[in-house]
Amino acid sequence: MEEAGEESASAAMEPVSDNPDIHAELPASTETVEVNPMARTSSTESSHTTTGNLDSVDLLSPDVEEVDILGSGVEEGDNNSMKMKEEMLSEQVDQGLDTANDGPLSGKSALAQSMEELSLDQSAVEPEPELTEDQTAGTEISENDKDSAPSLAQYFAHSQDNSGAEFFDSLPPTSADDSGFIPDTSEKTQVENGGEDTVNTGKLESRVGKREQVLTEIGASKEATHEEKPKVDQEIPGVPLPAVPQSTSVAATTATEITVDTTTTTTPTTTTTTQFPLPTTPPLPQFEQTTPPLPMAAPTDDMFSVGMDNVDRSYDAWIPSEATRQVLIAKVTSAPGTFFPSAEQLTCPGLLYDDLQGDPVRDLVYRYMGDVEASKRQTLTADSVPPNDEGLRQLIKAECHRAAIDLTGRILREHGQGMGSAGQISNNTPWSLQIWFTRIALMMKLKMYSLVESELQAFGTLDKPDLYYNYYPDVYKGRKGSMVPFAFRIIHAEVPQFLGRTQETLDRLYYLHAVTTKILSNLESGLEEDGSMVELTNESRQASRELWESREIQLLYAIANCLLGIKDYIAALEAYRSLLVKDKKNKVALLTGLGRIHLQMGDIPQASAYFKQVEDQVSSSDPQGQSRVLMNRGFMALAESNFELGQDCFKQVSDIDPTNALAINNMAVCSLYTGKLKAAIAILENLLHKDPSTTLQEGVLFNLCTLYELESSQALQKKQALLELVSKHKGNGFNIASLKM
Amino acid sequence: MESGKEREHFLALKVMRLTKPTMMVSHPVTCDQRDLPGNTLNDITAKDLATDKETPYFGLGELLTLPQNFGNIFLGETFSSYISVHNDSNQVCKEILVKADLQTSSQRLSLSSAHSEAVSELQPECSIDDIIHHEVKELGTHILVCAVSYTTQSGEKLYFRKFFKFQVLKPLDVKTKFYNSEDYVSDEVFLEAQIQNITPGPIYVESITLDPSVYYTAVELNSCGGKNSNEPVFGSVNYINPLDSRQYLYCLTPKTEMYSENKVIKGVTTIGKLDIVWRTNLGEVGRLQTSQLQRVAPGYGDIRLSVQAIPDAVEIEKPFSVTCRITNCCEREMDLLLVLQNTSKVGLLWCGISGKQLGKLPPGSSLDLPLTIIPISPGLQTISGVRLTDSFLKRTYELDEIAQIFVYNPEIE
Repeated sequence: MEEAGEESASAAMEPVSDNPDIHAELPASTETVEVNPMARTSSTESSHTTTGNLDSVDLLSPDVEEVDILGSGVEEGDNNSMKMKEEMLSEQVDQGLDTANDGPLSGKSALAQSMEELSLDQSAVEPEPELTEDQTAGTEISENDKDSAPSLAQYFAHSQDNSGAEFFDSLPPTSADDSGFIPDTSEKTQVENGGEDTVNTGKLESRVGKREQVLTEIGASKEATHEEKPKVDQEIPGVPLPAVPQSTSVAATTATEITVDTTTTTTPTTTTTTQFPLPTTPPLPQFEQTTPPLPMAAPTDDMFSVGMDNVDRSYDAWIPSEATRQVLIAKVTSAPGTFFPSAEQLTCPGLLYDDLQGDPVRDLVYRYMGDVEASKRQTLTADSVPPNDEGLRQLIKAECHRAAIDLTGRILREHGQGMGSAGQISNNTPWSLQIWFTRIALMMKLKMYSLVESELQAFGTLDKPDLYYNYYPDVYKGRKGSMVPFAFRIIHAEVPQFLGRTQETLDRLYYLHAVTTKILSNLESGLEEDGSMVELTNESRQASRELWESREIQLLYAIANCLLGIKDYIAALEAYRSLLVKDKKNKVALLTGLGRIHLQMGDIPQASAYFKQVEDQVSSSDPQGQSRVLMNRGFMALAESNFELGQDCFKQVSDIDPTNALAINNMAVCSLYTGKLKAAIAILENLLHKDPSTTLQEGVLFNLCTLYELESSQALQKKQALLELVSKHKGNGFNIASLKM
Repeated sequence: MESGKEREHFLALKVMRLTKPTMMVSHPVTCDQRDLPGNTLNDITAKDLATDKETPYFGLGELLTLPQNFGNIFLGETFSSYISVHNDSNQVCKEILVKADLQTSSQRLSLSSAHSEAVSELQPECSIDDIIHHEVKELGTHILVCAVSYTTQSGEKLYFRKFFKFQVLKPLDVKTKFYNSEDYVSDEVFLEAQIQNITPGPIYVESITLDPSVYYTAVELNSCGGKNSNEPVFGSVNYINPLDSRQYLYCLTPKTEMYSENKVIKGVTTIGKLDIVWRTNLGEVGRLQTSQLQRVAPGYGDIRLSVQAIPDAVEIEKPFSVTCRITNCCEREMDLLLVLQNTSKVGLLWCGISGKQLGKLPPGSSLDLPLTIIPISPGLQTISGVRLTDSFLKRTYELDEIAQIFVYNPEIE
């Protein structure tokens, strides 16, 4: 190519013709020390970097005059173009940009977004009316709560477990104080006068730093409990007493907790009179009675059984933060019915969004193909399955994630944790936590991140004392550990990164990693997971170690993925490399992945070195290994812009395994880069129609829709055909953004 | 050539920029088998093509996806674009000519390669496909102009075109600094090049080389463990984050033929060019070369004194010799008188004859002068005090701080 027009960039430029393979010239400063003027202009240019989209100037049907103007206006092409009607490069670019923030692949559906907004509104508005209600209720009841107390106990007279009744019998006297509605002045004078109390106030004045000690004090001196606790609430309004893990992640997590607690502190404990905050087994809702409360556990694994099952022990094990540990000790050591944590020490979850999730696929079918087609769509809804765990599993299996979320909402409402229950004391059981986990996990799958975050707020850092079995010594006799599924903790840690707060995610993940490492070292040194001195059998210890090692591996992957997401390659690669040792059995897959990351960075030599290691480890007789090697060669060819070779490599993979949809998709992508659009479309269409249930994947659909848009003006009709296929084979959890309609 | 404004064309033109495809990122949601969803969630994750079968937690999958938007384009990168002309009608079109030109602020380039000849006919539902490539050499606005002309079945000649505008941005900021060698024997120059990434994403630096001009040979000083090692000083993971800078160092030595002629490098000389190759997503490559870097050689005035030979360190109170080369840098002949001045503050004393006539020195020529010094104080000492007087003009040149030398006392261990 010829060189011309460089004079505008720099006068000092040499003709580059002596170096024909080099085309672009970059002006650099020419003499010692000083920054050249081009350097200064660069700062303004760099601000364009985000706006460098291709504007298309499209003359739809230019007549002769327009053509002439443009033809002659070539020298001032820029000016002319400004006058022209500006459009996007083409529809595919246009639509790509619509969702460019998340990318169409990760883009939330409009429905999900609007829902999240709604839910935020509700969370902002809801607490207000609650507060006023509670306040009136609180003051009323506090006057005659001693009378109302016995009647409560009668509610549970039928229960064999006496502790529930005892709990309520002893609760009301404290409730007035607990509610915190005694005027500040009276409280303060009391503090000033009281001899024994002043000691504690001294501690209270040191506030946040010492609040665990205060807690201990409360737990230890049973008689003082009733008088001291309200003071804690009064003296430190909005500062959460419980459950702040003593770790580096404290700063981030307390911040969220405070916001939760401002709504909960004012919730009087007197609501107990109406809310049944039973830490015992509640009267089960009807549908629950038809199925065992925890059907997901093995039949032998009854969650209410008195003995500690080995499997349970290792799965549930968790090390509470020091503050929570103190509360748990106090709870166990105090006489039944005498220890009561304040509301903000408890987990008080509630739905923040309860409208039906609908079915975006059906809506899309309705919009483009009308009522008749839409009515043909058959998907499961929350009504078409039994309202229990089995029903949830059916919905998830059918990929009806939205319906499954609806069902979790319904179940939680029945359980007393529906809309408006957030911040009110309710009953947490292992089963209710599983329902919550399922709900949150499905929302994560549907990328409803802000809703996930707001509903998770009530759970704090998943470390409040009432989430531990030890908190209910009468119910789960001898059982230890946390009711919170480990996967729930990972989701809780991962959410902030999707809302732009990567550091918070890393803090939380590293906290989980620290606890996991501690558990592993406890096992190593002959202790139980939580560090207690209990003899474990060898098999039991070995099984537990394997479980926790796999959890550690999962955490390391989560950490590495998070770092990769923010393109901190140095840290991400280090984390993945540490997995080469920890996750030995997947070494080949990991080496391949490391190679891919280097390719994504553009570091071809390093990628090649990793792929070479893969080749060395794979035996030539292993077809799966050979597929991997060929896939890697394909990626390598792609990086070197040798698309024919890439296509050939992917083709060979699909020859080894004709069901390898990945290779076939990648082959189609290569086809486009070699100028064979029609062939690319044919490959993908063939792939989709052969096995729609597995290959109707958002990435593949996105590729095909992009190709349709490039192919002709009839892209919409072709996309409708795809929509039909989706409607026939996919549930309401499908991400319709990939259809780009 | 004319077409009515309302008229729909039989052919449709679509354009898509072909940046490298991306590998799909996955955010797997999994759970323990004993949790409520059981295997259902895990099965869905395992079925997803974007997750790896063996390592489902690994965040970067093998599924390639096509570019989602135009993205940014930077100076030195290659602009590639797919151009598809599709016959949307139900009749055959003839004599189809597709032209793609790129209009920059200064020139117009023709990009169509494969289909510069007219295609004789195009059946319905068929297309003419082309991929154009252009290495971007200019900053600022570029307009891709695609023109299609064809003949309908009825013999009507139709013509339309589309314009696609995009901005070319600057990817790197290059600043250079020169350092003159403090080594008195050679004329080495050190070049520090500061490369800043001003793109919004990280870039992998494939190579930054200095292509020296005819006067110099260049040595790269960017690896640990000596000149022959290829372990870069930047660590094993070789990329520059957005807005981060890196310093590269090169040593330039004048070529020996210039030495042998005893010539002085004077005024502005060209040093060479920096050649930078970087890569981004999936090996997308960019290449830039700086303009010739120019250096103004330090001015030596009429006379230049350079040290030809000097020991590194000397024992105290033992005379040592220094060879100085005196070069006449001006256009006239000189008649020089050498005076050596001893100052009491300095730990070095000149030995030998002061006030010696050196004779006539023609322009551009030089003479070597062996001098003897006695060190009298230990430590790092500076050689100063050479005075040369040109008897033609009665002008005295004071040459101080010629070199430094370390003086030690061997009796003190």
